[in-house]
Amino acid sequence: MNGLLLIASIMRLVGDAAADQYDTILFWLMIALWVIMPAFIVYEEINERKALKEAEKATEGQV
Amino acid sequence: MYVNVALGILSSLPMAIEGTNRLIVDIAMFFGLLVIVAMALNFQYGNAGIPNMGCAVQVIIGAFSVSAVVLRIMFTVIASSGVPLQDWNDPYNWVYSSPFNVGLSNEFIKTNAPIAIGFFLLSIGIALTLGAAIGYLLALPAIRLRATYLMIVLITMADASQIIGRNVTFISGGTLGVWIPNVFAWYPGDFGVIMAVITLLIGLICFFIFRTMLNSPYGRLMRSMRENEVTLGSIGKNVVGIRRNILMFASGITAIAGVINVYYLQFSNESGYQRAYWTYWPWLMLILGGPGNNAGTFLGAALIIALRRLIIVFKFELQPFFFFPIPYLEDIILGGLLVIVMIFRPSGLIPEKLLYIPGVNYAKMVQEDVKVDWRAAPKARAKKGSKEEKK
Repeated sequence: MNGLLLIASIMRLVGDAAADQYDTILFWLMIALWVIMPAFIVYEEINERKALKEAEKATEGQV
Repeated sequence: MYVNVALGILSSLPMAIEGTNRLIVDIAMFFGLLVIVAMALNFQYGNAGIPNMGCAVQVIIGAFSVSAVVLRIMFTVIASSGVPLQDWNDPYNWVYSSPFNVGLSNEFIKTNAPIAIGFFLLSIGIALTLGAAIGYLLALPAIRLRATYLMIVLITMADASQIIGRNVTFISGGTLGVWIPNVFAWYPGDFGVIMAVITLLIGLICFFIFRTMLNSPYGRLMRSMRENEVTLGSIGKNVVGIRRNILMFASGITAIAGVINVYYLQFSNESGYQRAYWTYWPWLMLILGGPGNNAGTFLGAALIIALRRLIIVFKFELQPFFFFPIPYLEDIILGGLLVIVMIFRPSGLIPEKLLYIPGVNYAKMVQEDVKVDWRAAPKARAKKGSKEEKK
């Protein structure tokens, strides 16, 4: 709670003059989140598909 | 140190959130919002085989929980801090003093960020609880009805909840609606950016929750229910209970989307929760991307939202190319894409793959060398039986 109060009071102190800076940081954070999420999913999907193929190859001809 | 350097570089590139940046923020916001609904739908339909056509109900519950419950708590807390709010207790004042009270509340929130964040978290908690409760209610017919009838019942439930919202004023202000305070009024910058970041963060958390659940034994149980629930019931699993739990969990998550939407619009009205927007579009995202996998859901959501926002933003530029009013283009795309996907790509752009569990090789498990001499087996069984009889 104290931490939040501190952050809030710092933000108020800096005031509207620094609003553009916050916006810039948050904008790029937003882009990063937007990119990270699908990138992680695609990475995981590719890995799983690879592992499935390998498992298939390993057991090929044995069944 | 690296964080400081990165923040320094980023903050040295001041940019105004307008023009193309505004469009990017807008797309990101709606992507985060609808991807939560689409992921919850994928959880229900793609993995458990429950055709939930009542996503709108779950979103409405989230929105109404803010306007009916949290807003009253907010006003009570703010009024007790000495802010001279107008009376909001009877339905008339609830609607007509809403703009004035919300204006004063925003002024209060500007200097009381922790309380505002507390209100936001409280909204999410209440929406989760009420969403789970509505999921339980939705599950009651789901136990007895087959897929087609269940879909019809859920569609009517979505409409019913909208009608209730329209006629019961104290829930969300009836036809006029109520204003909602800006819980991020303390943020000095652009409201849209911070809202988009928070929505995407919540979307990311929801994604990891769903991912963990789907990769767990419970996820495999859900898939087996989707494939054949008679078999699952015959081996002693409580199909009704599993279905109810899934609906409750997914409803709770979907209700969060309603909360975010209300805070983003800063206004709550039943007309914003039509089934076309909150049910059919998420279904199209799911079917286009491919049900049963998160990658498909994300791809579907990204494509559809980008397409919709571009149509909305560039409607005047697009109008000369069409002989009909451009707002209809969205509906035409909804229907057309659905038909095209169902004809040419019924399993979606990214079809569901076999379930991969690290360290488990199904093929090996299947080919376990169990030597049974089937010719000798009946004789052995008979011998065993005669021995037991003698004893």
